[in-house]
Amino acid sequence: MSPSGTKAVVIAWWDEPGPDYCEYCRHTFCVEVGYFCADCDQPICQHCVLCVRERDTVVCSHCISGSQD
Amino acid sequence: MAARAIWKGIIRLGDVKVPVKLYASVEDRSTHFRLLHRKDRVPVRQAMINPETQEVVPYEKVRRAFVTAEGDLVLLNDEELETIEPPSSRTIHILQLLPPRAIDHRWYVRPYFLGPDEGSDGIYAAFIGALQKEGREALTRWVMRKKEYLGSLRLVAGYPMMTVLRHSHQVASTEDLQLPEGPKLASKEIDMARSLMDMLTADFKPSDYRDEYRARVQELIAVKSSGGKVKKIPLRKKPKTDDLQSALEASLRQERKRA
Amino acid sequence: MPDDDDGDQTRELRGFWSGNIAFGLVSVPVSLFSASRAGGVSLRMVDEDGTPLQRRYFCSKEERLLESDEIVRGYEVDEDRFVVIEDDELEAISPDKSREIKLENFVGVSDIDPAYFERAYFLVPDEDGSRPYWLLARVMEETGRAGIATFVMRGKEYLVAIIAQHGILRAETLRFHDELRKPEQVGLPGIAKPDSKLVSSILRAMRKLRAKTLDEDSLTDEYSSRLEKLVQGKMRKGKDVVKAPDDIGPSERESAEIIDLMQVLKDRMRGKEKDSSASRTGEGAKTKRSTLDERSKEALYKRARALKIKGRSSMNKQQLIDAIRDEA
Repeated sequence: MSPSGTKAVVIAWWDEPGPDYCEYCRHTFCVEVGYFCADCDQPICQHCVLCVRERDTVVCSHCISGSQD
Repeated sequence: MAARAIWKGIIRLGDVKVPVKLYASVEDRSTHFRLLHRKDRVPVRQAMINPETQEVVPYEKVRRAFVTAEGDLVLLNDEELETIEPPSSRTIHILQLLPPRAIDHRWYVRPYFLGPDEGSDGIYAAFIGALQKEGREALTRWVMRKKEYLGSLRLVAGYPMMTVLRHSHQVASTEDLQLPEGPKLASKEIDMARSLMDMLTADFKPSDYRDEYRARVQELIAVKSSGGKVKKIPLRKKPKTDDLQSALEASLRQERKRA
Repeated sequence: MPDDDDGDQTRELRGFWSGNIAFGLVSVPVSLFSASRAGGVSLRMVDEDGTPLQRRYFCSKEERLLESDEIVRGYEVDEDRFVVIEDDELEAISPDKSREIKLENFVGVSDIDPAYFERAYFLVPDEDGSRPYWLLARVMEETGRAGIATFVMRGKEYLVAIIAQHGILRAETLRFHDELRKPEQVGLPGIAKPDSKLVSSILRAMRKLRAKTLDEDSLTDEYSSRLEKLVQGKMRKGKDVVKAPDDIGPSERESAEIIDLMQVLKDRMRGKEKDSSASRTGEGAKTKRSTLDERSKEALYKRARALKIKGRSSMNKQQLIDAIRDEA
């Protein structure tokens, strides 16, 4: 799908698409660079994960807003 | 601190209903890295662009499409995708009761403990008692947050643990891989490898192994944060083994000395 | 259901890690490849007209799209203050563990509680027909043993069990002991003595569901089947069907990679003397995606017909690829 003339890009290992799926941004990612929400345990990609410094943990956007079932 | 339940469900077995709560039994301890723009160290955002115009397409205008083997795109809208979502339900169905280990660990993804829901302590205890007597593990199926899951349900440390399983398509198997005939191995080499392995064999003690690296990553971050420099050690690649037999002999000698 | 947003590059099979397996003084160079594939069918993100989109990174300070070489990884030490961490700095923390899986402990495979298992990688020998690889796989499989070690991959330490099956070594990552919570850490209550009548009635219900072996059909992904049906229905009606650009890959890309990996594995297991006729692609831990996977189902079907492959009319794309490879 790239327009002709686009240079071949070497994807960094932390940016490769992988078998895991992020519900929050709908992208695939490698679980090796992903996270699990400390509250609902859903897999989250490195872009959608949120850090809770006080608890030294990571959560997803649903849980931080308290809307998770 | 007690963990927070991630979901509530009801195990159904004929007329019996066991209301349970799901708790994550894995603790995630990864160090959280962000992707930054090298120049200004500002976290980057993801954007979807049209490759021809290089224009950013806002998320609410992004659609999804299936690519066929013939190279056609079939566009799917959200309403259509909603029609194939599983109906929401709290039921955990038990499909089969299998001998222990009949579900190979390669299907296992992530374990959850099941605890009693409010007021279900009696039936919860009875369910554990029955599972113990039966001595088997259950294959389960449930829908959680609009997704279908399969699980193996068994007792671990006296409590029910339900592990999410992979779908059959997700596990690559070497079963049908017809390997070529391998190189000839001398029986002496096989014997020596066996003896060496025997000397190194013991019971599995998981607590013997610790993640020492995570703390050192934190140290590295602290050093760099206070402006310190980190020495980089070049990686050396070890030479491969050319003479298998003498390498095995030397390994055995070394191991005997240690014993 | 995964979406897929970068089918644009010529993809290479790249190992997750490459280094040595050390068994005593025997050293086996290997590369790790994931043994699990995407769940379900991957969908492409497109705009309202059906133009496939590309994922890019955007800097909100400069308000522009970035190239991939402008991106680094960093750790947030204070609010909005980041420390950049480079890959080689992560490797330098523990150079030995970054390059070697040292098998100093062996255990019975069945001694490992399945709750420890996280995910699997195939170990592909870097050298054709590697004798130490064959030896290790054979002895481990015959004795039912797993080699346990810790090593560093992609900036993380992993506990790993090396297991042999069907002559192939797999590295299966295990959870560290302190990553698995105990019932009391979860906060599960003590269990009261169960009511024996209740136990008996549950047991009766359980007995009806007894089975000897796992019904693998129940592990099929039903969502994908429903999605495929939805797609087929729309294709029949010709509704919302757009011709894709020529170089777009089919949605089953991940499976194609696994098929390729199997071929690489097979090639590498073969001894050099037998390798002369085999077509090798790429070198080291890398190999180009073979052309077979890029053909359309129609083209594969034609090839299968030419090879007189039985049952070809009922095969899906993946089965066709497999069957053609077996014939070749």
